[in-house]
Amino acid sequence: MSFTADRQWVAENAVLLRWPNPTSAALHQHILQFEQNLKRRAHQAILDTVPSYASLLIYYSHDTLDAYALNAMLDAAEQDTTTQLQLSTQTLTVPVFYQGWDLARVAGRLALSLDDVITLHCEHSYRVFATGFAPGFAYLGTLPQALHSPRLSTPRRRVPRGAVAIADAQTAIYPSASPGGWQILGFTPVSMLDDATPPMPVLKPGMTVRFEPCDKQEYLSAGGTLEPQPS
Amino acid sequence: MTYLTLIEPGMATGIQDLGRMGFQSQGYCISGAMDQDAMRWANLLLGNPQFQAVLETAAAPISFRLSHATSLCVTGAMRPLSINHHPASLWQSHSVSANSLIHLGPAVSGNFSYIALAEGFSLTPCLGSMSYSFKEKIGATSRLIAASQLEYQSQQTSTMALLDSAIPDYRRPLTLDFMPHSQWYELPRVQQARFCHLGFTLSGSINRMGIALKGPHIPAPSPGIRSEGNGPGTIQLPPHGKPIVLMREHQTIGGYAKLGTLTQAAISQLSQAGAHTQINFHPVDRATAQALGVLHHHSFSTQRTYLCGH
Repeated sequence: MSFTADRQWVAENAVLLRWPNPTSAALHQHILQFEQNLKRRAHQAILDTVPSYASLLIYYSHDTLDAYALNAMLDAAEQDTTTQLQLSTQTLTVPVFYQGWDLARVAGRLALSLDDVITLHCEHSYRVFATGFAPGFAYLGTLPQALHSPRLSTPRRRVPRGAVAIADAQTAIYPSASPGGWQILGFTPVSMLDDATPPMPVLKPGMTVRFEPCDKQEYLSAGGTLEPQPS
Repeated sequence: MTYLTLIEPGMATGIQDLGRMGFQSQGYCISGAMDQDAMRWANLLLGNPQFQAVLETAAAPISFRLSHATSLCVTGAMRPLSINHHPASLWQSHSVSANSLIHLGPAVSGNFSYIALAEGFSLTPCLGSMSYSFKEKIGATSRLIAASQLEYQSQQTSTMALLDSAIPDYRRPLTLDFMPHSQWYELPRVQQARFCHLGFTLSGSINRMGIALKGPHIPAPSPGIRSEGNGPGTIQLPPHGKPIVLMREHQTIGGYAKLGTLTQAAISQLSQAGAHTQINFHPVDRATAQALGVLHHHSFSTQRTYLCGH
């Protein structure tokens, strides 16, 4: 299958490539392959890249490459088939203590039992489509249709670190306490950041994540903490 | 040892340079000085490279002591500066003796000040940049507080001043250049015109992450998009119809509709806007934005035009 991106100049030093296709693993693989091709050809001029579901934001040195030269590089990267992207096939299994603040509300809205929600969340595996927003945050998809839920109408001031949450067709783990509007199904003791200084994300685009339920005892003994829900 | 020691730490005080590239997909924003024009001038008036790390501080009073002789330059927000209780000019480098006390009063206009020392500070970069990111808590230093110390090289340079005519007046209304893209083209022309010409003001206080604007209600063309990368200067239009401009500590990925991105120079201009500053927008295409950027950079290298000895 061939994919063609639309190019938009979004800053003096940035171009955003956007693919009109629906979200899929095949499209995402193509985007990551494109990113690698571009970096291999023009790494001196490529300052930063941010891949996501259907887009690639590219920061480039416009002193080194002007728009015409960059366009030529983008054309070449799109057609390049000389190297095959090797992605980590590792699957990270994340234990979740399913006592999230929004679990009952989500179940009620979807007319499911709590167990149904947990089973649906755990029986699928998820692809890391993007990492970013904040360090360690990973956008995981695609959530089964039966679980699709809107964001909270008013975001919370504080979502605890380790919260496992859903929004629309996505699920994610909050890597650190932050404001947030996703609906919280549970909490995990697994850190999304490594021990480096500064810490780097454990998950990378293209990796696979699965969730499995754990009980309170397992959660606490693995280092999980219980944070009271703010009223 | 040769130290700058903070006495009154001021507000949002941190080391900043032009920011951190290469780690946005790991979630680390570019960060960097809010007003990179004022930051560059602070360095140039000392003969430093433009990109050298400086101390950025917001509008609250700040004081510090310099243990050894050096040269110092303060640019940015208009506010009283004193060196050992004697008034001194902003936008001008000064030779200071050992054990000098430097004080900056509250800002009268503008929001951020830049304090540069000859030869800069002796620090080790973090992920390729000295910049402190308040939300990520990373940088060449930890968060600066009262009694924090920053090592520097004791070095004096000849002093220089910026011509009065080149000193920015932060009370003036702003017309910010931006590159339209994304959902801009889904906006009806009348809404595009309202966005550009009806005038916005700041809706709250300025912070390093983003600036909310109040003014004409612009109906968002779409409630959201598939989350994608976005950088400093991005003009987001959330469903409530009030634009938010992402600043240096931007989210690296976002899912709101977007109208465009401010040029680098416009991001710096916006960072110094006051509570009542009238803000309009002016669309520019890619080639124009890049050309304006080149000319803008050139204005820093034509030093003789702007600099005078004293």
